[in-house]
Amino acid sequence: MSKENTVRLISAEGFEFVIDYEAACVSNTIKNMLSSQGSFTESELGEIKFPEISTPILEKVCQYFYYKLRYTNSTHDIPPFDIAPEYALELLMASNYLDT
Amino acid sequence: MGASCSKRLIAYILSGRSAGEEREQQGGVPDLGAVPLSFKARRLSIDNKEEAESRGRGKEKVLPDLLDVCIAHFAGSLDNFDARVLDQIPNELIQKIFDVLVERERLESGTIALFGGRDITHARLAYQPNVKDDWLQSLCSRELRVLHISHCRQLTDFGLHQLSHSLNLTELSLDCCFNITREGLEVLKGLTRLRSLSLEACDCVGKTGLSFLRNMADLRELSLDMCSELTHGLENLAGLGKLERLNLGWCINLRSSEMRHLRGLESLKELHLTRCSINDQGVKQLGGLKNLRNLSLAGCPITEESVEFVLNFKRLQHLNLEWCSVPSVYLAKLGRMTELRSLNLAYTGATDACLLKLFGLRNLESLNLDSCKITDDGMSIFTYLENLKSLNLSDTGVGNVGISYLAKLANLEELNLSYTTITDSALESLKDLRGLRLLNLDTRHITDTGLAKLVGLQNLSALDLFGAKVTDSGLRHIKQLKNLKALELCSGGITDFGVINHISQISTLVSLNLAQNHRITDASLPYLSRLSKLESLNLTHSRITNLGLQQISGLKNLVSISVYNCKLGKNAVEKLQTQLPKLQSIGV
Repeated sequence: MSKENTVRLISAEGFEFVIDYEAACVSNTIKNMLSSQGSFTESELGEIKFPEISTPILEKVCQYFYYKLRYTNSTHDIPPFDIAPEYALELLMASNYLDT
Repeated sequence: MGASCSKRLIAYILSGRSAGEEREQQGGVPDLGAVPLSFKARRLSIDNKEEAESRGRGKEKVLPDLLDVCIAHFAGSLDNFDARVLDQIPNELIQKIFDVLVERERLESGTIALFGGRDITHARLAYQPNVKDDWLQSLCSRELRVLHISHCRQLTDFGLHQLSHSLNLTELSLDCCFNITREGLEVLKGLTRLRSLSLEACDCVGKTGLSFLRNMADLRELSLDMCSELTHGLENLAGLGKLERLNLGWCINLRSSEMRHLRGLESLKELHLTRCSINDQGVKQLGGLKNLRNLSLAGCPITEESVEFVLNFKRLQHLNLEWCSVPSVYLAKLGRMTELRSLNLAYTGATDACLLKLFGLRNLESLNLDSCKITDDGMSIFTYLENLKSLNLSDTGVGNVGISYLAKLANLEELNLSYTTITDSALESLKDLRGLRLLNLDTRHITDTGLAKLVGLQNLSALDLFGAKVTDSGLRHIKQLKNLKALELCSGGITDFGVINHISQISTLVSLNLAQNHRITDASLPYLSRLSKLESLNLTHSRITNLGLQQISGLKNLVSISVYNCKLGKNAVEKLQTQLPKLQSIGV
């Protein structure tokens, strides 16, 4: 992964997820942050802090980004994206915030 | 026409419309009629999909958003719900969870209470099985904007009274809420922000004299369809200056003189007077409606005077004169209405000479000539009407020569040729109509030989061969139609061999009618159970028995089954009902 094409997403606990720019843009919120309309730090450094999102939730969100990339327009059977009940509430809030 | 005729009759009686008109209103959904209920009654998924597909045609397949996945998770784990969980979720997401629960019919009195005080703005509850008065107690708040409770028949005046807490309502439908009385409707007087109101088949409306409408100045849409006791009161509509759509169909006791109150409604674009007793004098009162686009006078006792008058509605795009007894020479004048997109002249007795005068209707997309006096002599008109998408020539004298004029109607999607005099060679003219989705060939002279011509029509989703002389060997051709969802084959010529070797391979089928084929036995049933998408199945007059019926317990999508005149016991049928959760209608 070359640095230009990746984004660092930082959870509430300070854990970093380095993912592809393309995957991060599955979230409309992140896409806007990284575009020219976003603040300088985010678009310049390719780094976004999410003080409201805990590490396991952010991990699950990243998994969804790749799930979406993998299966959009797929002609094969698409497996369901499973959610553990204990994370459901936080994930609901996160996905609402991230517009995903 | 056999079944399609009886189907039409049932739809006609129960819904207050003919099948043709129904189709027109629904924007071109197939006339399957498999569940003969009112026109808004639950339809097979095939109809909904048809609409969804036509809306989303060409769009790529989209994965659900993570938010949708989460909301579906919440809606699916209802047992873990409690108020504390919901307290943490913002109201706009609660609305989304509510919507999914409605869609899945998972709401009950216990769960509905959880949504009280959470500012639900939209509650589209029509046809939900258990809606009771206490539901409205929970849901009616100042924030409520849209409430659909049509066909929620347990509701009473007490529940309706809760609407006094929802004065911001903009949309309300109460169709077929038969327990509501005149007193209950009093609450409507306060709902002055309504933009859309539907009170179909609420007989108590007649007793109110419509006084509740007086202050609804924002009203855009009003339906009083089938309010058969309504006789007067239209003066209360006179001030509704924004009204665009008005349905007074089947208000059979409405006085013709009441029409005078409508003349000032200049915004009116759509007016349905189907089967009202409106005469020429009544129609003449409508002169002020300059913006009218859609007018139905079907079954009204009008004469040529009304037709002359209708010619003044220069912007009219849709005209329904079904069952009107107007001499054909006057109907011919409609050829001047060049804006027309759809024209229904079914059962008017229109002749070839009349039809030939319609050559100016270049915008016409839908034409219904059911049971008119049309023969091959009138068919050359179709060289002019090249934008036609839907054409009904059922029960006319049209034969093979006339059908050849249809060969160039490249936009045709729906064609009904039932009970015409066509034979197999007519199908040669249809073989290039690649856009055809619905085709009705219910006529005795169509045989296996002709069906070979249809295999190129790969967009066909509904094929009606009810009375056509089709046998097992004709099924070879039918099974090549890769998008076929609805099929009727009731000639008596289909046997177990055809079901086992051919029909069982048409895996796209949603609705299948094999009635009157008395050579179908239990041997067919394991093969029919392979048609996993099947929602409607008719095996009336076949030789199936109790033992065979249990073989289809795998058809989990089945909504309706008809097995009249079969040797079946009550127990077998009841057992099937417990095994198939969606099964609603069963005819034994």
